[in-house]
Amino acid sequence: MSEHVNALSPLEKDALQEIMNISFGQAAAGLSEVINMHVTLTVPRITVLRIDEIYPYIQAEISGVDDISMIRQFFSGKFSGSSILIFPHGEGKKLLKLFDENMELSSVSASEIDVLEKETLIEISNIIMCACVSKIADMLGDVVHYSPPRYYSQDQIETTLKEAFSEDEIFAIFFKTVFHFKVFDASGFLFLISNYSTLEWLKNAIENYLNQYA
Amino acid sequence: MAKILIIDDSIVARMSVKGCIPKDCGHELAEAGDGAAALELFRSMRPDITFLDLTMPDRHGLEILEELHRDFPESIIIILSADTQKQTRVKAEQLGAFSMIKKPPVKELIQSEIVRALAIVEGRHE
Repeated sequence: MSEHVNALSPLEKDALQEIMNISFGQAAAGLSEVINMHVTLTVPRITVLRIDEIYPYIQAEISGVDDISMIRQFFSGKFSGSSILIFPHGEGKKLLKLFDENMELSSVSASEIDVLEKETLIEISNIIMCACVSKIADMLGDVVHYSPPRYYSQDQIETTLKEAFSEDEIFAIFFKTVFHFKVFDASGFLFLISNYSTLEWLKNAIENYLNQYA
Repeated sequence: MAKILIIDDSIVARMSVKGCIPKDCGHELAEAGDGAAALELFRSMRPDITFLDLTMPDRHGLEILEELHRDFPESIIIILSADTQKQTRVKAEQLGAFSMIKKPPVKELIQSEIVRALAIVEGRHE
């Protein structure tokens, strides 16, 4: 799997990782207030990939997790791309009590639980993805707009990812972190895939960020 | 003049902290990019003030804080992190952090914390 290392210099990559680290940390702090729960996030990783490498890369990153659900949301601005949250199967059920702590699963039918699980994943994903992307955009001096998040089951993921990019996009900047809700012992993978066409803007925005500490 | 150690896995984060510290005060600055190097440098340098990141790949900053504060209870360790969740703040306080500053660093805040920390260091020497 090739990495297009020349797209970002080591310093730019480090700066972007630090900006993500700050953004995700602040987003986690915001989240912990909204849902009253401690969230941990791993150190973000950044890679530049060819579009056709994205799905195999995601598969490799979540290896060992067979049955997954995905929530995807587009964001657009000078910084644009897709946010993707991937949950191993069953994590949604663990999180159902997040929004209704009195819920008794035994009194709800299986089909209702499936719907509630999807809705819970969409809602949590929306909060996490918007919080992270908004903080990154804010730190880089941009404002982004979001499409409504959508749920995809395992069998829809590969096709959906392939269709997420226009034909003239060859590369994507790929960001990854893993988050964990300790109380529910539930985890998920957050990927941000930024369109390569935003690269020049991104490089300028990083330079502006670094200049404030020069 | 103080000995200041900056611990962060990101070069840019270390640059940004250094950029906030006044250059004309003659402070001695050192930096470490991972937990192991940080502990070794801390023991040899014995800094007056340490800026410590939390989210690092090899060891979490809270583990480093715990170890340093256990071995050097009077050390002044300022947590500099984007993770400012209540539970994280409480844990850092329990483990002996001097204070906690939210990333990205703001020059005025970094400088005021250095002044506050140095007042304590100088008080010990009187």
